[in-house]
Amino acid sequence: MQMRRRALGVACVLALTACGTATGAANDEAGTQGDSAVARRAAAQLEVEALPGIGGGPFEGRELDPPLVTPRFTLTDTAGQPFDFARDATSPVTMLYFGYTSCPDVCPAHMAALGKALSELPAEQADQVQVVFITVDTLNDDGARLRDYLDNFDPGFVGLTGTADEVNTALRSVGLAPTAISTEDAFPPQHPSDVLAYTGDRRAHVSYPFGSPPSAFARDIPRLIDLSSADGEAAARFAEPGTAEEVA
Amino acid sequence: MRLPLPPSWRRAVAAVATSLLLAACAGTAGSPSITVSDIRAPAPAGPNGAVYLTLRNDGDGDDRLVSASSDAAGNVEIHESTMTDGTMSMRQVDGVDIPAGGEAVLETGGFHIMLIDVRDDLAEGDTFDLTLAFETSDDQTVEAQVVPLVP
Repeated sequence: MQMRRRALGVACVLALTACGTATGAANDEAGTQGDSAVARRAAAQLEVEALPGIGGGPFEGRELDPPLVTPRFTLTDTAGQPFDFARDATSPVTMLYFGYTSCPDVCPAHMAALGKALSELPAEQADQVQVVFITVDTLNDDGARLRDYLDNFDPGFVGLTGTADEVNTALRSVGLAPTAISTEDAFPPQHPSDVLAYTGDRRAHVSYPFGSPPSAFARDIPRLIDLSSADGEAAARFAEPGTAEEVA
Repeated sequence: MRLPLPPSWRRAVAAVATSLLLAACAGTAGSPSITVSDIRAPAPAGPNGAVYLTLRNDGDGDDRLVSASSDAAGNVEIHESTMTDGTMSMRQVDGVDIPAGGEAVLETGGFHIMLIDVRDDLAEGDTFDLTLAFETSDDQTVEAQVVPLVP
């Protein structure tokens, strides 16, 4: 009996140790992720503060260092017309996002945040922003479906479709991690999590990770417009896509 | 460690230890008690919709959300969105754990109940029934309200 009790004690200690180890590991992991996220945010903030030429303090979005160059690709808009991004994205600020219409979670959250931010800004600011949504579900999304989807957020949002090859070309040209375009065997597709903000200097200096609230866009858009107009020749450059690589 | 016990006792001790270990880790000591709260369905923009909610387990046994069903959609599945190196992926999962004394929060960018081929006449303010099935607890039918895409 004495022995058995001791054995039970051993079993309990074993049980507690085993569970404790698992819980501890999970906590450690969460702690590490939290710390690194904080560190990343702090680092990003420092970089933005140190970036010359961007007034008004750090952006709510995440600074891209180095910035991304305006991509070269042509897709088809929801009216069936070709849309050459370097030539046709002519607004001082272009918000670019890759998603798909049957995405019920992340994509509508992003688009709704942008739509709400634009609806709350003064018209003279909102009018300087163009939102471009490129579908990664080339199997199912056509122009009509994309138009119907985007109209939920803002009838002015531009929707682009293409073949899987064309959308992959666009993704590569943007410089984002390659994702899985929808195929018969791979559904749902993957897509980049961020909205990229291109400005008049033909660069994306800031991106908006998933979860960015309307207030982040609303706060940053006036500054992004300033960034575009800070260079008086920015608008002219849009008319000359050939000069994109010459911009320092 | 070698216990000075006859072989039959050693087997008994090993069995007790194993069952204690399993019981302690699986948390099957008691029964779960699930409360559903904060149920919301953003107005669907495309062919699919999502329901978010919080599952609180005030019981002393673990449970798991294993499926959901609703007349508001052609099919209802549990999905998880994950982000890896800046890429968002979504996949179907076979359930969401609700630990004893804890909760499972289904929220944007994590787990959601996916309404596939959602009824296209759902508008803000509408409500629909959603039945949740658990591994241990009885099914619960809750009312989901359609809310704006951005709260």
